[in-house]
Amino acid sequence: MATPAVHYDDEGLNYRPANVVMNLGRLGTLYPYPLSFMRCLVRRIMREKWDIKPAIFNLDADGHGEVVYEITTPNGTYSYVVFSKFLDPAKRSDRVIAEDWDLTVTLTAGTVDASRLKFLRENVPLQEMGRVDANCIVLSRANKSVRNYQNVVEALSNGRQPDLDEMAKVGYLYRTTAVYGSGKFGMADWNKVREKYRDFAQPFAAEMFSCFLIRQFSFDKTDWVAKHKAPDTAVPLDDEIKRYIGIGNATGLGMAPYLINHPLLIANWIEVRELALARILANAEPTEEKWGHFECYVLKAKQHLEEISTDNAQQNIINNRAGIEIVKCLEWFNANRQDITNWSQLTAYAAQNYGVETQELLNAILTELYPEYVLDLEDHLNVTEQYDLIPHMKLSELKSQIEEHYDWVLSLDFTSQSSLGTFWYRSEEKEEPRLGQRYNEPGAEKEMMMCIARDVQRCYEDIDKYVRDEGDKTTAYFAFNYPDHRYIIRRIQTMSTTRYGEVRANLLDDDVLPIHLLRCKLSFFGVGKFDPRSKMWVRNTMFQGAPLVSDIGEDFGDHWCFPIRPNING
Amino acid sequence: MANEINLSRNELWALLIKVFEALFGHRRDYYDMARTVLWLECHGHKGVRQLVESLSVLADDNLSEPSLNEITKSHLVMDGGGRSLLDLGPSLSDLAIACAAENGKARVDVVNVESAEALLGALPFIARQGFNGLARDASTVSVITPKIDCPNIFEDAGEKQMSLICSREGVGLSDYFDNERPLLTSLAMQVEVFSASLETGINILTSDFDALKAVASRILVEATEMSRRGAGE
Repeated sequence: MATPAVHYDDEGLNYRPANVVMNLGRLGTLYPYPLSFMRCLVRRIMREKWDIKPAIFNLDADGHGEVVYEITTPNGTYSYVVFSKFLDPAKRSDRVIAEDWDLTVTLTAGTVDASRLKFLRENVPLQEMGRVDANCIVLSRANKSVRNYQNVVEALSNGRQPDLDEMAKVGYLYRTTAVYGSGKFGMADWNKVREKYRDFAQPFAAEMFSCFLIRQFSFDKTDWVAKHKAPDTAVPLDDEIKRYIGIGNATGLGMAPYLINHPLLIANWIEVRELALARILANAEPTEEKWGHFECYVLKAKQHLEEISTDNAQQNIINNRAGIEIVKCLEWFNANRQDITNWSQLTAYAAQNYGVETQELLNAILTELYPEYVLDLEDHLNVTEQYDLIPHMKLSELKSQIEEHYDWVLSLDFTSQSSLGTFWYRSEEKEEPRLGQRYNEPGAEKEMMMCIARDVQRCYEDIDKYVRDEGDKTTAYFAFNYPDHRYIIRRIQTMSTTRYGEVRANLLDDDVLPIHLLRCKLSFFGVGKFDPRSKMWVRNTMFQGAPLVSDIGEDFGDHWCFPIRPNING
Repeated sequence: MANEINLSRNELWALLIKVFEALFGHRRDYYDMARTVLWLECHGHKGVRQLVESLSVLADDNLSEPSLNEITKSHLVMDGGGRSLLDLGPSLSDLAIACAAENGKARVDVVNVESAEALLGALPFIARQGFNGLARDASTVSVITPKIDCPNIFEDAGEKQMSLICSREGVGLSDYFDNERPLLTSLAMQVEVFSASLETGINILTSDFDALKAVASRILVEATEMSRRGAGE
């Protein structure tokens, strides 16, 4: 039998229904929350007091060379190896198809001796063109934000802090352009990481850690270069400003197929998030203390939204509207304070009066208010993905599963050209996922399997016909006669055991907005400050507001969500 | 070794998916075909070699679809139409499981197929569904029990009929043979190989890797200025 999905049933809780939660437009408005992966990682680093220090710091005056950070945790020792070099500005590109970068990095198990460093030096800078081994956990690269980097070095070497207005526009010194893990290019498989490198056994923990240390390197390098440029006048970057600086990221279509190819994992992440929210709405009392915290979070979130700098007019409208509406929620709450006994009154009010973006912002704030209802779920984010066919299931039961769990598919109309106008494919350029126009571009015969809704509908129609012709046989016989449906049947049978099921969208439609998929996944990573560059890729900022390596061992409050500009003058 | 390349399991898995996707498009469940080959390779059964040797058969579009003959409700015969068991294996285990679920026990005989060694790859599907399984080819008989990911493999120079047997109750060798058979490959040996594949990766011949990469590349679409706009440029 197939392994049924795990449900986290706190008895009597009212989960939001799948038709609300799994709507693609709503998934595209999710905000980071306390169980987002970088939040989990930082809590762990701070709780376990990881020791992170440079074991090798071999940079020239321009900041080019090699740095090895040694990381000691309660479970083991790792090395984070950075290769920094001069990059011809003409070659600097955020695209996955780029072939040269300002810096390349790897996270590897154990310490690094001369021969190991030589091996890494020969391979890591090549990225996809190199080969690493099963001791490597992450492979990544990053490029400078040239303007920001130069401004900061210039200011520091002249003995002053950088202009915060300028810093706020970008929010980082370096941005990653790809972060690889899970066995790519010979690295350790995810199962090995999960079993052997327990410090990184949470989803994407190692990848997030790599970004965290690129951020650290960006500070160390900037201070180093400024000091060597002007030894007599240079000052180090202020710690408050460092905390405000994150690590940039550019995310494109490559992230979208992941969501579609790992539906059990995504359904699990969603269910855990919804459970946290359901617990709060059912149990949490809006006490005076929590009320005060709520007000602080609302005002912080509003400022955070106001400070997001993007040229995307639509995103600006969305951010402005959410900022205004979340304050209106606060005002309504204030005006009705004496009648409010439960946060669900506020979420119901927001659902009736304000946009989806505001509703999800409010939900994210509520999860920040009540770590006691949320943080114990941290260990539930992993799931073993298994999509086995249940061959002995009768077709009548399979048909019922589709009608119950994929009813949204059966109502989609695939008869018009526009409903199938888009196809997803991999380009010969580094296998980069791209979107094509089905009726205007070649390659549709090689499309990726992103057509879940259409395939479920076709499968349903063929089952219906087969049952009429052959009777109510088992799934095995049907799949034998229709081998093209076997994959989708496995998927249907598996996902029908989950609370939330599939992302509800026709991803082949002319008007599909992949950026919603990207933001959904990025919110689970903990990424904020979305700056859409098109409907297919987005710039964003990671770890902005997070503690620094030098903060490890100090008091830590886990309040670095909705990062805002520090109140100091540059 | 110089003529080998070391791959992680996930890397091999991703490559195999692309190979089967390139060979069959969406006409087959290419994920489970890839899973069969990965299982064989990670347990020491030369899945990649079998796949490379089968490429010409797998790519042959002129072969007929397999057919089924129902001898009794619990005894089927599948005529593979000359296809590879790497293609038909998942269907084979599906049918065996479904029949056993209805009748307590099922036997599926297989005729007219290539890559007979891949029959072994059907057993883990059976075990995952909570059934006992027995696979018999010309030289071996393999027995798997529920929830265990690999079988014990015994020598068998008996009949040439290739069969897959699935049962709710245990499938004991004594049900099929008078004499004890020598154990060729134990479950423990396969578990050891499997663990090593996770710890240090999997070595395959560079020539096999190149052959599979060449097939996998057929899923890629030519890059044009228009296609670059499809990445959001």
